[in-house]
Amino acid sequence: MATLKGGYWGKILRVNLTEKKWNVEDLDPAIVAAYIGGAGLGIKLLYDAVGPGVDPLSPENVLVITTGPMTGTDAPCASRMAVVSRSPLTGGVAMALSAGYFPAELKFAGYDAVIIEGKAESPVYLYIKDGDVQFRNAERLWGMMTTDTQLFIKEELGDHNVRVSCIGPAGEKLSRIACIINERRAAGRKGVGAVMGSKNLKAIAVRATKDVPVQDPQSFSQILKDLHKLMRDDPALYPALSKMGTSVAVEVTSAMGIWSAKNWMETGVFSPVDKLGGQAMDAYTIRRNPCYRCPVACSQVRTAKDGAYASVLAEGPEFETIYSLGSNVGVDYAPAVIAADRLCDEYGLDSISTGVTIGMAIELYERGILGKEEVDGLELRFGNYESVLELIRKMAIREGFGDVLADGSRLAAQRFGRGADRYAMHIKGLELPAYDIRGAKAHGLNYITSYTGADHNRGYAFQEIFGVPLPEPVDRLEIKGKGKLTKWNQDFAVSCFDSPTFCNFLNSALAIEGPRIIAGLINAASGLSLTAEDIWQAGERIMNLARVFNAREGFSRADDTLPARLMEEPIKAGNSAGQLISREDLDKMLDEYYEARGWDKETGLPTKEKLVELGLEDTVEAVEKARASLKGGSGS
Amino acid sequence: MKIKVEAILDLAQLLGGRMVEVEVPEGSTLRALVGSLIDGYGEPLRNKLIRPDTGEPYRYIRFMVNGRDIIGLQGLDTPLVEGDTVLILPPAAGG
Repeated sequence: MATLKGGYWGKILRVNLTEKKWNVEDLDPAIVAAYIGGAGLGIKLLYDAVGPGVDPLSPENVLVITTGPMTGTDAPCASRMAVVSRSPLTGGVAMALSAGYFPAELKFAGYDAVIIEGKAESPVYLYIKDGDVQFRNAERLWGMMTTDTQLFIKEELGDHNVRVSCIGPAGEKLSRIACIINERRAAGRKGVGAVMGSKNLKAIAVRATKDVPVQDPQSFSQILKDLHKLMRDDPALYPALSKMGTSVAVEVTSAMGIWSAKNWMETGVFSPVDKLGGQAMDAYTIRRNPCYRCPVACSQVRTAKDGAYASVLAEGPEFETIYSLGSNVGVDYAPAVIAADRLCDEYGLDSISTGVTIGMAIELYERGILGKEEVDGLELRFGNYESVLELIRKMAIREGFGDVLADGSRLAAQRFGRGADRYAMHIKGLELPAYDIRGAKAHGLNYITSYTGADHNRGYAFQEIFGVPLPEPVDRLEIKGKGKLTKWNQDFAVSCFDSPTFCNFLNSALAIEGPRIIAGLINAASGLSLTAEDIWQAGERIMNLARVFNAREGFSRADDTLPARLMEEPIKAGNSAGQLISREDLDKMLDEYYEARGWDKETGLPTKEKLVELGLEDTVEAVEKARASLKGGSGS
Repeated sequence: MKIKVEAILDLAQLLGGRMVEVEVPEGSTLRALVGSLIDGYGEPLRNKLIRPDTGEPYRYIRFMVNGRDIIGLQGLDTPLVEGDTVLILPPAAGG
């Protein structure tokens, strides 16, 4: 195997918080050739480090942070990092990506991955200065919100160019829906913030100056020209996304009748696009805030200009938050959504899971399942944004009723009992994103089968949501063909975006040329000799390894399912009226998906043949054990 | 016959609203409706929807009839009936 001549450093930083020690290990080029970097590399390192049954919030879990071969290079839209762990929310693989500037800065430090083990005796933060690592006291930072944490560290280190990734109070209090914030961006979902909190790790600060080497700059630059042209020519990127940010998706999904509302009861009925759509939110935008080397600049900085939340600023709210803390909780007052978004960022809560958990609580209260005394006397009604904001605060600091909600909808519903689980809108414990998948079947099958739970970005069906006819046109309401398409979307996302690392918003620009361009860029940077087919196969390999990790934790076909509401209650109004995903439709899509994947339909686990084909022979024993256990459990 | 036409963003601005009702002859197809819209709303709408070199809609301009992508119907030759809703979406990304 060739040595790595650029793109990668070939180095892993391993930090043990229990012993306050760190060391640098070589990264095997064969590993990056097989797993690319970013999400793929993170999942491989997690699989090797964490065996079955490890408590996600124990010192035995690891927090892995990876960059990819494109991170920190001249490639556009590539300052991204994957945060990988065993999720305290789902119990399976947690993989959350963040962007902004921190990922590029981390890459400049000379590491492809950071593996954080153990638990510090008292709160600490890490300071990575180029290759060097310091363990610094964070007791004074404990309890601090995320913006103040970043400012405090920059001041303490006497360097305002330091980049900081940190948790807020929610992560410290082990909220299973806590995120990790860098700048105003989040590695948002699956509770990675709680894992960081469980290790008494408040923050990671990085200041670094190394240039990422590229072994063939001329070829690299030439392929980047092709990439830039594809981006410029992509009508999906420009002008709408660039100008209005992700909130433009409010207009699109609302028109299609798939913008979910009021805990998924009133999709198509409550659809306040005039107040929360991209055009309406434009009135609050004061500037755009691009990530490092991003020409698209979708991120919008917005300020509420008047009313009770005047002067509150947020980077966002993004489309997902406009749903979770807007339409999903019946709120159509944009300043309140901006304020709720900011509050989640400051406390370090995932805004999607937070809003969906609150939406469930409101429905339970309105149905009379929860009494007023149980909800701390709050008037929990759809549309009451003051209660929503108060609940965010309570959840973050685990006060009263907020303590019950702080671990997400599944655990809260279990604690309530009384049939509350019917109203918990999650898959595998991860709360549902904004798209009402009853009207977008492949998007739904991705939620259902994603290794992280209901996660829209792990196999985004841009064919259904935005009508991009690549690799071929699809009918969003059709069931047939969606298993194959979902495999394609998932392998494409993990191989071309989550691992190299590129922003997923390039998906339509790269739908045809992606694997060839990614292979070319990696080869020009590193000296590896990957083909487009290698990139596709790496995607499939990563998806299989993630599935095996989850299989070791007991996941199977039975977990690839939906909340009952989506299988029994059709969308009531709008352009998707009457749509649902029946149990029969779910089974048909799953059968087709497993067949496309080469997984056995009975258990949903990879076959031995598929694992061997992908070079995952080492995992066969674990999968066969899981399969035997499932078959034994079902009495067959 | 009357057909409801829904659109968003710039297209809605050109039509004067997110939903307008237009009258087309019985038996019209979606293609005829689009032609009729362009006749009614003029060059600005044509420039948004139709490539001058091919006369076909721009890449990623999307049409649905009663919520169904026309890929699942008969494309622009999909016949319309009284009361149908046609949704026209411009290219977009994100979320």
